[in-house]
Amino acid sequence: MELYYYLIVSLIVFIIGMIGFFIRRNLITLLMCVELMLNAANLALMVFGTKWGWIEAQAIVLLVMTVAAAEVAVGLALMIVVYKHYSHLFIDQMTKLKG
Amino acid sequence: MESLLFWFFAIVAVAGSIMVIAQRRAIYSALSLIIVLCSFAGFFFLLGASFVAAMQVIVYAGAIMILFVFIIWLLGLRTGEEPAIKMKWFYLAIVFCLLIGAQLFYIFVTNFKEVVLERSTDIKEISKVLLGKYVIPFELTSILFLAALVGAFYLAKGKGKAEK
Amino acid sequence: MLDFTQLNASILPEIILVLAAIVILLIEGFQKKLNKYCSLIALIAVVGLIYYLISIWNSNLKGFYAGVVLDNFALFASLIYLLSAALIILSAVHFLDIKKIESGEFYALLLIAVAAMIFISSANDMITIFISLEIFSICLYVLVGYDRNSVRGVEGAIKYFILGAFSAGILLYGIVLIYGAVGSTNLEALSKIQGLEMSQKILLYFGAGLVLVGLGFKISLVPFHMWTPDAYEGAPTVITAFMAAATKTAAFSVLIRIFVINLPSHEISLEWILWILAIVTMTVGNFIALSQENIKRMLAYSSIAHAGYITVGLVGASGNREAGNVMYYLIVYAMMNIGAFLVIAHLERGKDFLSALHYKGLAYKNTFLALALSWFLLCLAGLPPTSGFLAKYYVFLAAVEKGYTILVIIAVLNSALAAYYYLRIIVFMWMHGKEEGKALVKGEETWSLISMTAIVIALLLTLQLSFMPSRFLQLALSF
Repeated sequence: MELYYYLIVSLIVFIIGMIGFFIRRNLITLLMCVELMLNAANLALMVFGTKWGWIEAQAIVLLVMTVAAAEVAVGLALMIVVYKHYSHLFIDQMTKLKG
Repeated sequence: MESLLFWFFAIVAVAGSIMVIAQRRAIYSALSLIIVLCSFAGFFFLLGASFVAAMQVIVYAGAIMILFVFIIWLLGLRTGEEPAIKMKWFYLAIVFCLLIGAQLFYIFVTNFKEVVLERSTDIKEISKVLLGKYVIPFELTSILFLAALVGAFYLAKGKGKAEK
Repeated sequence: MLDFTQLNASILPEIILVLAAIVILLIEGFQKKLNKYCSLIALIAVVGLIYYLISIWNSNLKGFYAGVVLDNFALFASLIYLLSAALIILSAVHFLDIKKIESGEFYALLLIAVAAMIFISSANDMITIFISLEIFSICLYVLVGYDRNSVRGVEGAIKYFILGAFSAGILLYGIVLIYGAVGSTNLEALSKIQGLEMSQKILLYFGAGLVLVGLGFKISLVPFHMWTPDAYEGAPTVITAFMAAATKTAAFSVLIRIFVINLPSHEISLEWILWILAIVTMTVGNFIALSQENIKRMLAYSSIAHAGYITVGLVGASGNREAGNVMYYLIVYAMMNIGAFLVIAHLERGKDFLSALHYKGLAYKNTFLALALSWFLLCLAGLPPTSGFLAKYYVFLAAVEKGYTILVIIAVLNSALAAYYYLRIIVFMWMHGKEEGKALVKGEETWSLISMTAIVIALLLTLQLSFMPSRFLQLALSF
């Protein structure tokens, strides 16, 4: 199996995540798109790790997972607060702040 | 066998991530994302990182996705439903991303053909790196969790009376 | 095994800050009676560290497998964060009291954010940079939405969060691409590697571009600035001040460390991208600021414009002197911006007192505050005797010497345009009668000595930066 296949999958998933971030409006889905991007980065990291340092790459992937977990925890807590105020989670319908 | 598995996981991952952004209900997106994360674990396994693959399933597909599903369930399944996708942004995003993607695609294809390193799966080695070269980021994650814990707790504990 | 010779005092400031944060959290959790001492503990930790950092100037501590470098550059950046944090803490005591927001977690999160910022400027490893960026971002997401009952604060926080998370994804992919190109996440190793192949160079180029985009979100360069006005307007005013000063400095210090100090050896030039970004950023920021009525929103757009001026200093920069110019600009910007926001926070009574029209006739009701605000706004406008002018002068001069004349001409025209919306507020304050305006209705004035002290300190610092800048300039040029 050629390694670049993995990289291409990672690239495709990253781009799908980015496109999703632009076209979706639901906050939860937006956060899921960010998760897709982080995962794509993880996969690319592992593939690069086969060339530059396998153990290091695994260590970094573990660190990135913890970051993703912390971010999701805070983000979902924020979404609960948002839901209490708005009763919905659509970012384009939040227009209290407009200049 | 390896290539068969790879193609299986690749198709599942790409199809799953398209489902994540194409579903109009958040709960379906979340379920698709779980499938994507599991197929990523499959990739890690195929690459020879069985420990990371296990962590991927436990931490991501387990803990993080449980949070997502729990929140969707808590806030009501219907809140995830969007009217329609904004197509204006869609085309712009596709053009922009394809431009970047095509370049990188070419580099990846030309540059990463051969396997160089021997890939050990020893967890001991990983922990040595985590407590050696990456000791600062490793310790930083504990501060990260402290901040996230305090923050998430503070935000969610309020009664949340909306201002009129 | 863990190599104990690698451990040294280079992370001592962060340890002290995090310990102080933990003490505050414990007090908040178990000894509610001692609640009012939280701010005092935070203040002691921060002020003590300012003295400590100045005492270890020039020591160039390096440790943890070359992962942390506490050089003069990092010390100077840390000085900006700590000065900002000290002023914010002083002002927050009064502010949180008036707004009836609970205070315990506020100081803890603020201290953790400052610790992460010190980490980010002393980090020599891209993974450390990524994680510390996440730490202070998470703290700020919470702090922006700290007033949970205010719908504006929560809306600003969620917008900041969702774009911040997106930028983190992009930043991580950029870091991964750089790792794929050169095989190390350590910046020092990155600057030493020679003889890259063409394909590696392209990969590095893309990685650097994605890192620039990821950090561009944090410093609100223009295509990535959408969150800035909303988050700045929604956040509690003291946090807005902190974000404008410290977050911007943190992200710029990373940009300088990666693009000015470590990358130029590869002939990877992002000059033209930075050139375009600088022009677009300042022009868009200034033009939108012209039409803003809400004073916080106006200052948000002005901070976008200032990000543009600072980026002028990064175009084609390749040495420590340019880094010094930019850092000097950042400390000047931090002090004058915090000063302006502190006056606004001091005057703020409810959400309705933020419009520019409410500042009419302020000079006749509280002359000192009007004087202070006028001085800070003049600094922000960059008029000649002020520190704002001096900082701009150094940055623009360096750009002219490198031959970016058109860029500097556009920047100067922009500064002239910007003077309009700053002077407008000053005119409102001084040229309107006593009867107009509602900034201080009689009997509503609550004197707080502490938050007044903060304003006075900010005033003294900007005065020193304007008329006796040599001390700070020496520090900034000692990288």
